[in-house]
Amino acid sequence: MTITEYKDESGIVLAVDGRVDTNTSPQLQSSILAALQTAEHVTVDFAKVPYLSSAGLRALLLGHKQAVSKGAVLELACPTEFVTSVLTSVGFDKVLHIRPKS
Amino acid sequence: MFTTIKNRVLFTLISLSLGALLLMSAVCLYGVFNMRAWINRGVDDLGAQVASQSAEELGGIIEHELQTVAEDKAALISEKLAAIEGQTRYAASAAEYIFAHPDEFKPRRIDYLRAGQENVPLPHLRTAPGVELSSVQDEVYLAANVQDALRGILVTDIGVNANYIGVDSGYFISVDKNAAGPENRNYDPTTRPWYIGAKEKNGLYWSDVFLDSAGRGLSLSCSMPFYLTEGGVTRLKGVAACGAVLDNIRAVIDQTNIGGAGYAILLNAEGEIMMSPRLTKYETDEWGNLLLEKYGNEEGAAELVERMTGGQIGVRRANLDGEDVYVGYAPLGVNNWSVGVVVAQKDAMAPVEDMRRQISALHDSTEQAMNENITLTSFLLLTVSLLAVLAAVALSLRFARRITGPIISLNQGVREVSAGNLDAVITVGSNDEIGQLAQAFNAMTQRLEEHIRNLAEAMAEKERIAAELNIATKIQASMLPPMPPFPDRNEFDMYALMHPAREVGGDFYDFFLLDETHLGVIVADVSGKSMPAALFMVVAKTLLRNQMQLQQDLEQVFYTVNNQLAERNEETMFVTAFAGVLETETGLFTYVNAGHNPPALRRSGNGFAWLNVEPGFVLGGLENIKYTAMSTRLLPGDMIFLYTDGVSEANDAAGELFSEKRILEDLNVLVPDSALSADCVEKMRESVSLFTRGAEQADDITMLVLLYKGAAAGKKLTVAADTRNLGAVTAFLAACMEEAGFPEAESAAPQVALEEVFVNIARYAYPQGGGSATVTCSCKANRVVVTVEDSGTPYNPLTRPSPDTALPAEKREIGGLGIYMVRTLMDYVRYDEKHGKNVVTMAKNAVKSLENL
Repeated sequence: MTITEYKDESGIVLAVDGRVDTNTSPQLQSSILAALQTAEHVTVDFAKVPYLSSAGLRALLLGHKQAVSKGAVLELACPTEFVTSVLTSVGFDKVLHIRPKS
Repeated sequence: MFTTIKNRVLFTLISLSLGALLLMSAVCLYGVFNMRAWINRGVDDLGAQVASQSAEELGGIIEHELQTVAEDKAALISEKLAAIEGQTRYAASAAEYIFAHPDEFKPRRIDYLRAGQENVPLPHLRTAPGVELSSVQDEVYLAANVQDALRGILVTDIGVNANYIGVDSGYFISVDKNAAGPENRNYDPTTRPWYIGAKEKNGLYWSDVFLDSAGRGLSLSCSMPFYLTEGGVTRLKGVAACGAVLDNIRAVIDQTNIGGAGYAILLNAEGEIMMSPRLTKYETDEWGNLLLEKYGNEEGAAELVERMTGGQIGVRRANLDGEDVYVGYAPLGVNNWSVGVVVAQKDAMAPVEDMRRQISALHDSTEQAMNENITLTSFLLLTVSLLAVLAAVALSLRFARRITGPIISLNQGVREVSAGNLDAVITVGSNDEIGQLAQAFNAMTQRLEEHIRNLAEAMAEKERIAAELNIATKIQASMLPPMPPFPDRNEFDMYALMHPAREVGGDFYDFFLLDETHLGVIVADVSGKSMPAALFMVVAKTLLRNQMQLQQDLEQVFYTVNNQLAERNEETMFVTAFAGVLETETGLFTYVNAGHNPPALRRSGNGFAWLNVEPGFVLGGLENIKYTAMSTRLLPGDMIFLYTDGVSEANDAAGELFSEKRILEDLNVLVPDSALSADCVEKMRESVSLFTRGAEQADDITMLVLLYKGAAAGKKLTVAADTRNLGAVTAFLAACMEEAGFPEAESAAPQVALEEVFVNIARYAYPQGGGSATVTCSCKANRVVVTVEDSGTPYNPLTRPSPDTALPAEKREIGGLGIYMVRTLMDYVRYDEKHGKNVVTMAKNAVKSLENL
C-alpha cells in the first residue's frame, strides 16, 4: 500500500493505493492523524483500495474521532464496491463522511 | 301484536264472537226500531183515518140530522101557517055565503068602537073616509053576520089575533085582540096590501112579515078574496083576512137547539133574514116597512141563500156571521120562505176532534210506552251484549291459553335447549300433537346430548391424537438430517426433502459421512403410510445407518438389515430402499437397491438418464435375500436424483400420474448444468406441486439430490502464527481461488475473513508465542471452503457478541469488528474443537455463479 499526500482547495488529500489490512493500516492511521494535525479537511481517496479489513476500519474510525474532536472533517472519497459493502455491513456508512465515486 | 299464536287465536275467537254478537244486536235493534217506526206510522194513520172517518160519519149524521130538523121545523111552521090559512078560507067562505044568501040572515047591528073599548076583542066597524054608515047601513048590517065566524076563529089557538073582512063598498068589520081606539074609525081596506094582494092574486095571499101596528111584534097576514054573483056576473065583493103574530113560529125557530148548540133562521123569498135568534130588534123605514138584512158575502153564504130561496132541501156548509157552520134547510111552501137550522162546525165536529184527541193521546201514550219498552230492550240488549263480550273475551283468553299454553311451554323449552341447555326437559301437559311434538323434541334433545357427548369425546381423542401426531411429526422431522448438509465439504453438494402425506410418513432419506472421504446416502419408502409406516421407518432407518456405519459391504448391509426387519415382522411390512456410498476423492459411487425406484443420473454435459440398477427384493419381506451391489464412477458435475414413488405417482385432480417419464423430462428441461442440488430439488418440487394443484397428496414425497463436484483438491499452508505472515496467508487463498476459477470480483471477502481469523489467532491463541496456524483451502468455481486450525488455547471466537453497528462513531469501540465481519462476509462459519485443535470452517458461494441459474 502506498499513500500519496497532496493538497487541494479543500485541504489535504491522502490518495491510498493498495490493500488496507492489518499490516498496512497503521501507516494509513498515522498519515490521517498527521494530516489532521495541519488540515481542517482531510480527504482519504480510496479509489484504488480493493481490500479493507477491520484494522483499516479501525484506522478510519480513529481518524474520524480525531477529526471530530478537533472540529475538522475526515472524508472518505470514492470507495470501491467491495469497500463500500464492508463499510455498509458494519454500519460505517452512517458514521463516516463518504463521498461516492462521481 | 299478532306475533304470537295466542294473540292470533284470541283475536280470531273474540272477532268471531263479537262479530256474531254485533250482528245479532244490530238485527235486533234494527227490528225493534223498524217496528216502532211501523207502529208509529200505523197508529198515526189509524188515528187520522179514524178521525177523518168519524168526521165523515159524524158529518153525514149531522147533515142528516140538520136536514131532518130543518124539514121538521119547516113542517111544523107550515102546519101552523096552514091552520091560519084554513081559518082565513073559512072566514072568506062565511062572508061569501052571507052575501050570496041575504035572505037567510037578519041584519045585525054593529058599531064603531067607542072610547074605552081599545084592546077589547069586540066586533067593530071601520069605514073608509067619505063613507058613512048611514049610506051602507043595510049591507053593513048584513055583513055583520060574519062576526060570529070571526069571533070563533079568534078563540082558536093558532096565534091569530085579528080577523077581519074588507068589502069593496068601503067598510071594514074586525075582531081584534088589540083593537085600535075610536080615533081610528076611518080605514079604507081596499087600499091595504093584504086586500090588494088577494084581489090581484085572485086567491090566497100571504103578506110579508111586518111589525104589528099595535106593537105586538113581528106579524103577517093571510087574506082570501070572496065573490058575489049577481045577474050572472061574479065579481069580487071583498077580502077576508087573518092577522097573526108570529110568536109561535118564532118559538119554533128560537127553540131550535141541536145538541146544546145551534139555532134556526127563516128567510123570505128575497133571502132576507126574517127570523134569527140573533135578530132581536127590527128596523123600519119611515112608512113602517121592515128593513131586513141579508147575509153577506162570506164563503158559501150566497150559494146557501140561493138554494134556500130556490125551495130546495139540503145541507150546506157556509160561513155565516164570521162562523163556519153547517146549515140544514127546507122550504115552507108559503111565499118561498125557507127554514134553516144552523150549527157551528166546531160544535158539530167537537166529538170528532174529541175522538181525534183521544186517539192522539192514546197514540202518544202507546208510543211513549213503546219507546220506554224499546229503550229498556236496547239497554237490556246492550247489557247482555256487554256481558256476552266479557264472557267471550274471558272464554277466548282461557281457550287461547289452553291451546297456546303447550306451544309456549314447547317454545320456552326449545329456547332453553337452543341456548345450550340440553338437560332441559319440555313438560307439556296435553297429549295432543303438541304433546307428541314435545316428547319427540325431548327424545331428540336427549339423542343430541348423547351425540354431542360422543362427539366431544371423539374430538378430545382426535385432538389428543393430533397433538401426539404433531409431536411425532416434529420427531420425524428432527430425525432427518438438517439442511443444508455438509457446508464445509466442497467435493459434493447435496439437498433433500421429505413431505409426508399425513402428519408422519413412511418415507425417509439419510446421509452421513462414513469417514472423511466416504458419504453414505439412503432413500427409502416403507409400505403404507402414516403412523405404522413411520414406526417401521424409524426401525429401518436406524438399522440401515447402523449397518452402513458398521461395514463397507453394501450387499452385506442390506442382507443383514433385511433379516433383522423380516424377523418378527408380524404385520408383513416392508421397505423399498436405495443406498449408495460416494468416495469423495475418486467419485466412485457404489449402490444397492431393494425394490426401490432407480435414480436418475446426469453425466456432466449430457442429460439425465435412469441409472442402471439391479432391482433387488424389498427389505423385510423375506429373510435371507441376496442383494447385488453395483457401482459407477461419477465425474465432477455429475448429479444423482433420488426419489420415492410419491413423486412419480403424484396425481393431479384428474387422477393422472406425474410419472417417471415426466421426472426425466423435467430434470432435463428445468435443471441447468450450473444448478446446485438445492435448486434442483426446488425446481422439481415446484413442478410436482404445480402438477398436483388442487389434488390431495396421496403419498409421502421424498427427493434427494447429490451433485459431485470432484475431489477436494485442498491446498494446505502452515505458517507461524504471526501477523507478519498475513500477506502469505491471504496470497495463498487468492491463488487457490484464482486457480479454481472463483470470480476475482468476489475474492476479497474470503481474504478479509481469513485475515480476521488469522490475526485473531496470531494475537491471542499462543500467549507464550511460537505456535502455528494451518490454512486449508478447497475451492471450486462457485464455492470456496476455508479452514483455519491452531493448537492454541481452546477458544471459540464465534461466541463473541456482535457489535452494535447502529451506534454513532464516538460511541463505537475501536475493536471487536473482526469476527462480526467474518460472519457477514461469509455464507457459512463454524467452529469445532477437534483433536485438541481449534478449527474454524468458512464457506462462501460465488454470487455470480448463483445468478447464472
